[in-house]
Amino acid sequence: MKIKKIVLITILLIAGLGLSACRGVSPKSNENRLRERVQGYILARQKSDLAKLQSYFVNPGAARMGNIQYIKSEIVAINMGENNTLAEVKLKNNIQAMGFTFKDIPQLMKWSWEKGDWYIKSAANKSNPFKTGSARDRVKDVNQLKQ
Amino acid sequence: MSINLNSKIRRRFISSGMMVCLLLLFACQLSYAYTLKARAQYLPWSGWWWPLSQGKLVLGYNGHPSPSEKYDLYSYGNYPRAATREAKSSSDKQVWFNPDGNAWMGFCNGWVNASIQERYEIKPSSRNGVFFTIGDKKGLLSACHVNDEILYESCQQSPEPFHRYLLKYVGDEGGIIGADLDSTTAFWSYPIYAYEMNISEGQKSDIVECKITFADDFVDPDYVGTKIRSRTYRYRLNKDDDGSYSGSGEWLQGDEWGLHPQMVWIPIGVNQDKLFVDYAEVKAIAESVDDEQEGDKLIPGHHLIMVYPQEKDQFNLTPQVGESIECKIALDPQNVKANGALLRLLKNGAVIKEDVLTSELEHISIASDTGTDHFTLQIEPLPDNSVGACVHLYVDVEADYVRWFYGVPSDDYWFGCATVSEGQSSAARAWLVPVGSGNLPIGRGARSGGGMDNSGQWLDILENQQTVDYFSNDARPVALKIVSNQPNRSLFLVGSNLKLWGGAGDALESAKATRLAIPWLTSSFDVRDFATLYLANNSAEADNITIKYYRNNGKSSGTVIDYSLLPESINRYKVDEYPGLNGGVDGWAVIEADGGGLSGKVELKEGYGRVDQLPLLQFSRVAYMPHLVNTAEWKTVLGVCNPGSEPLSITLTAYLDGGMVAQKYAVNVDPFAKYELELNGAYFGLTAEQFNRAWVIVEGDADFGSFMRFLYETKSAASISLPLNYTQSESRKLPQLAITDGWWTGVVLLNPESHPLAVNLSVLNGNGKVEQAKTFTIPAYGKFTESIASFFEKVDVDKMATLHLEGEGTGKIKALVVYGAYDANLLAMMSW
Repeated sequence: MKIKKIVLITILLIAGLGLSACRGVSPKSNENRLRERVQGYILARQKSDLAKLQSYFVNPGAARMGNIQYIKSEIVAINMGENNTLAEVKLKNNIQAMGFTFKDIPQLMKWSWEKGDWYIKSAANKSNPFKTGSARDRVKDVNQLKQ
Repeated sequence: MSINLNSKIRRRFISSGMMVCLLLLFACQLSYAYTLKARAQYLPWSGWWWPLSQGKLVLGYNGHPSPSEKYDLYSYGNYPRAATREAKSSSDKQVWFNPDGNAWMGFCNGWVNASIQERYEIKPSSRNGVFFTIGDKKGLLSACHVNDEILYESCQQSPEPFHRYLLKYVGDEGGIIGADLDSTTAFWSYPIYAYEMNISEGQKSDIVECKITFADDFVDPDYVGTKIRSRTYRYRLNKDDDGSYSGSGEWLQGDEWGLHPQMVWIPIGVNQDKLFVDYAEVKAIAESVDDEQEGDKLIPGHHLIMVYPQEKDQFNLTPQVGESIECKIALDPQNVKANGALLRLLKNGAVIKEDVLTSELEHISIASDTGTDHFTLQIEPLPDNSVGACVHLYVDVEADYVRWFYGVPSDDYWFGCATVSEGQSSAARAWLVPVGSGNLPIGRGARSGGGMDNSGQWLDILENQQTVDYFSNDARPVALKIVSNQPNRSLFLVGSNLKLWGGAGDALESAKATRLAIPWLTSSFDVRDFATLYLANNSAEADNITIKYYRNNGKSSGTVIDYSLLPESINRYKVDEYPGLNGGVDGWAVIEADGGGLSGKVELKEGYGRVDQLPLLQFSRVAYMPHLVNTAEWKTVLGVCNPGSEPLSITLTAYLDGGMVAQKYAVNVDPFAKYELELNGAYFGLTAEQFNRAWVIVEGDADFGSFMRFLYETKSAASISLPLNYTQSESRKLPQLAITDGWWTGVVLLNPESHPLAVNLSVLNGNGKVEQAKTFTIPAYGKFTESIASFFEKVDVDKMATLHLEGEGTGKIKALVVYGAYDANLLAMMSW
């Protein structure tokens, strides 16, 4: 049975488009998408919109809003990792809290490509305000006695 | 160490004479006889059988804590917990106490199984602050092995299984078998480790006279070694046609009571399903030896020292000038009476004290006028002590500069402290001492390294503060102190992902007032807020205090006179437990002491989200609010307590950009009332933006106590007592900057003087080295409000450790430091 030429061309075109899609997102477009996501995250944080903020986290429960106001944030750098599925994003933030203004506070975030988009990969903050490397090292000899 | 006596003596041997005899008997067609002997490769240990009806595993065989209570202490840090509770009433597991049980019921089979399987030397030891005696260990092991999986056979109808088990497990394998040697309904179990059989052979049966050797359980729980017993039985073993034993037989003669073995077994392993304790933990306890004190340097705290015969534990102590190391030492009363210990103190190698220890605490104070003396504390068993001795050693330090933090949190929270020396001496050193309610050290403290000089910082996260000292009857530390022979400042913070509280340590110098305000008290009618009060008497004499309780409106809720605070005591009062008060009170109190050693604080838990704290407030006519904030989310609240019987007139004067704001705010506070005022710009005719840049001086026509709170919606709160009108040092150091890992630190410096003040502010690293210094001027009546990371923007935040404020006249500056987290509702504050 003869297939009409126009039908054949259509089939080939569709197949070509499909194959093109299968190549995946290009590194550049992947980074652009990450930039969009980071900007969206920054905006949600400035608006203290927790529901929106949660949509940027792999684990939405990890989204946190504290007693501070993010006034302005800008992306300083985006470093794409291997396979373009992991990225480090460096931000610079201006913040206000309890009458104090914090300018250009650096922030390092880790994003990962999951479920077809970029999400923040972070665990709940379990740090304490006494983590100061050099000083802790200096009392290590004493702490050893506590073991 | 396993016991290994006469091993491998388990051979059948037939003497040559016997052989001759046998041949003759054979020739005469009579039965012949031979002897079989064997002995296990190791000895079972003797232990008590722990009668269930007496319940001494739970109730104690040697006072308290009992073995089950010690297990709870070891595993949970307190008692009674699972072991002690379930030991009496478990429905599906083996109970350890049954007052209605038969008198003969006990853990003899558990002891047998344990003595067969736990093949190590059981020595007294200390772990997790608990002294485990030999009896504790053997008792816990016996309880764990009661329901062991076993291979067993009954010997009631025939002695053949008994005979066979002996030959196979003792004779062939060199092991030990368990046996119930009581053929009545009672069950008396023993581990049999040796036998000697005289066997007279016949055509249809053999007659055996069997002497067994076993360990006994009619011993003291703390018995060491093996109490050996033996019994002899006579029995017949029937044979099949081929000459082998048929399995049937007959007991011909039992022991002196006519009893014979009823059952024999070998244990296979522990049945954990039947236990409410973790066998692995019990085994770890049983196998433990010695104590947990490492090295010869002592740190503050409670140490449970274990010394064994022919050994000596010794600790080197080198107090610096101004330090006094206070040791209190006693023998644990659960040591077996004969097992005493000797204490010896040497100074520069010469013995200056030698005493036999008792269970009463002996106090030794160790100090050096020159700082060059070397002291050695030695503890050793008395010569006739064959087991060892356990000694409680409490190490405390006294010096001129002490910072207290009352209220040590549970292990659900991290608990950190930082301190920085303000002295210039190179001999500066700090000690961290956790203290129980009786002012004895509890748990384990720490000692700073040698870097406390030159502004060196020392910080630590305190872990595992949930400890129990049953000797001093303290459940946990109630306070923590930093002791130093040099001036210092400290910060104590407690927190989790959701809560943060703490502040500067309470210095005794500031607690010498004899009249103070307790700013918060709550009653049980308030189901949301809970105020816990801490009162400490840091003097060596009892302090008789008077407390006048008031509701917030000034109405009296009672007066308690001559309430005695014991010398050197730290007392914790929860809601409805306030001193001398029947029930709680929603309000506050004035506390008057007749001595100068009173200090304390109130810790306020608000709902589920916040914990805040305030020290006891001093009274003054002038106080300062260095920082103000009023936004949609943030509030500033001023609290004023009027201790007088007359209305108190308070005037609030605001200053903005160095100038006094014309509009003042005045308010009267009723007699004995507490007044809380949420401040905003409208009180002074200021815009919100101006208000947030302003500060306020609070002046009264009589003395008042005051505090301020910063609130972020209902999520965060931090409070401090208002800085008063006194002058500080012109060189002050901030013990900690929290800049990394999502934390921020903000500083407010207020110049209340009518002239500008030149200020030098330096940021230092953990070694006391200046990373950057900035000099600037704070104008008259002006203030400096900055986040440290922004102000010292060129310094690597990882290097920021402490802050140093210097300059002529800076002692007048009222300073405030705020700690917060970027992405959490955490907030804490300290006056600096």
